[in-house]
Amino acid sequence: MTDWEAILAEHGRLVWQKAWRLLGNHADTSDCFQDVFVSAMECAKRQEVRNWPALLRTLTNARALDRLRSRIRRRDHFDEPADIGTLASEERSPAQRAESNELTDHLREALSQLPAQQSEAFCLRFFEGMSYAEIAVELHITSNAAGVLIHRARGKLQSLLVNDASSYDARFRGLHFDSTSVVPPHSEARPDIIPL
Amino acid sequence: MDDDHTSSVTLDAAIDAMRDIPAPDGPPPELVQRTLHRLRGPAPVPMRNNWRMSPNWKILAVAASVLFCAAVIAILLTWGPGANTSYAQIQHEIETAQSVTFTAITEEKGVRHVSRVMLKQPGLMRVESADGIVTTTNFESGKILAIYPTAKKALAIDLNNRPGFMTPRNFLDELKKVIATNAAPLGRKKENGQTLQGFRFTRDGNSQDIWIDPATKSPVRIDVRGPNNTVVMSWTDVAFNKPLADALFTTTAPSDYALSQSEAAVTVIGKWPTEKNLLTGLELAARHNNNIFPGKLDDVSARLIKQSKATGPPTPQIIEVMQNIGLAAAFESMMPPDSGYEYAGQGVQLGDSQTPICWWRPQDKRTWTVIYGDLSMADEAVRPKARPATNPQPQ
Repeated sequence: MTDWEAILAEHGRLVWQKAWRLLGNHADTSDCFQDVFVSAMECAKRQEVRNWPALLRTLTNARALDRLRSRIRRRDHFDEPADIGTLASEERSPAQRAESNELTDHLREALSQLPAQQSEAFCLRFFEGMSYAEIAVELHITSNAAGVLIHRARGKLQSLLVNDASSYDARFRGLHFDSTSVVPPHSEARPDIIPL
Repeated sequence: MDDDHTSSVTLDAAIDAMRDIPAPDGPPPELVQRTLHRLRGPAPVPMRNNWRMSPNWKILAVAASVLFCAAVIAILLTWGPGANTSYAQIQHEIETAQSVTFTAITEEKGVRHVSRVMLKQPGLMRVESADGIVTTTNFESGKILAIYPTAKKALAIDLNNRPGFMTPRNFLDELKKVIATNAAPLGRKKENGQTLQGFRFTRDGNSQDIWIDPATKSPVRIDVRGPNNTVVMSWTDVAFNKPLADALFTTTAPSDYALSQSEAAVTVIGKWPTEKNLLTGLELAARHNNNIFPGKLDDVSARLIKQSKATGPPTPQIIEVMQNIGLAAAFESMMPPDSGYEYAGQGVQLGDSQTPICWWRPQDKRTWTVIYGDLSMADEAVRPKARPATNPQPQ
């Protein structure tokens, strides 16, 4: 009998953090968190799980990407909740925060447009630091196939991000942001620095 | 730089940005419990006379946000004017402030709540909860709006029916008054590698510790202490005079949101409205209406407020009644439109075990949850029919 309480206690934080990274808000991360453990339970019914962290990492990426694709499909401007995790850090300047948020938003959107296996392979490679051989084991493919998937994913993502770059640059130039900018007190002219 | 190189740099920057995203502490204990519940299979459905939490967590999360907002309000309301200036530079910065932003951290029964708070003159507040819920309050107009972007739901609360003691204040002004009390030096401490210098401002036995950066003389952290000298709320990442657009504080719901309205005064702090709150509020509303359920919960609230205004400040007992009825009304207000929620208690005698007074269908069920006049609950296969009210409502 699987001791789910112990597994959640030991690995819950790992799943939470990895899901948050891809999803960036509390509601989706919470839903994904539950999906991951339900999927893990189904896996555990089928076969003995020898490496829980590896299984949970792979499942987290897969379920988070599923949710990301679903979210991007139905998204409009109000569907992205403001989350404290992206708001609380004051270590970066508002401009840096805004730029970082913009980049991650674009990457999330681009990832949602990739075929599922490509995006999973990409995340395992670049966010989990797995080798081609490890990815091959996780996705039940050959190492060569993993390499091809990642190469294609990277090319597609570059293309998608560049397409967004012109509008992205224009928006930031319009706000006169730079990494050293200091926001003057009582300025009503630049409300955009408070991320929504 | 060629296009390939540019796109590669952009992708690498995006990967780095995503790797560096700070995740809040988690998973929250309640999420772990919910997950364990799912893994262990559905619990048996409790029947009559059992209290149950609503499964509609997203809706309750709206309530939590609103109530957290109320907690912020209440704690800030404990602050009042004082006498002498003890630290001119802090006082000057706060006195001239047009806005303040901070991360508010509270802990209740071991559960830590973190929210981002923005205050702006005159009387505007915005609270962004870790649940992704945004609550905006305009203390001048007495309006509160809570929105849950993912669920596209919004709850509007009108505080104009509040008891007299709950007069909205400009909270930034309250902070300015606190700073005018006598301060006791707390010395210096190191926190996260940063040296902080502290001052304690005390009024009516409650105190606030304001910690400043000695280099800039700006407050960076404020600990609000309760009657037992325990910290009830901490403000971190405090920043004054950030430009904040008025649009951040709008109390108008986006047009494509499902909007619920409430005239209730939401004054209970740190509690989530549950079915138990609904039942408590229903019972109190009936008891303060000659043991007959009123036409609306707000009817009793409005009458009690009117009486309080005529006779002076409400007693603690009346305040408690108001709070409980307010929570019940908040629970009602947050029922989703497709729940089929209906209240039909008008004229029903408290204790009538045969007459249903309200009902709704939970999102994950085919049965109807029904509350009867004796405040028992049951799951029924068929939606009850409201009976016409026969008894006049006492005045």
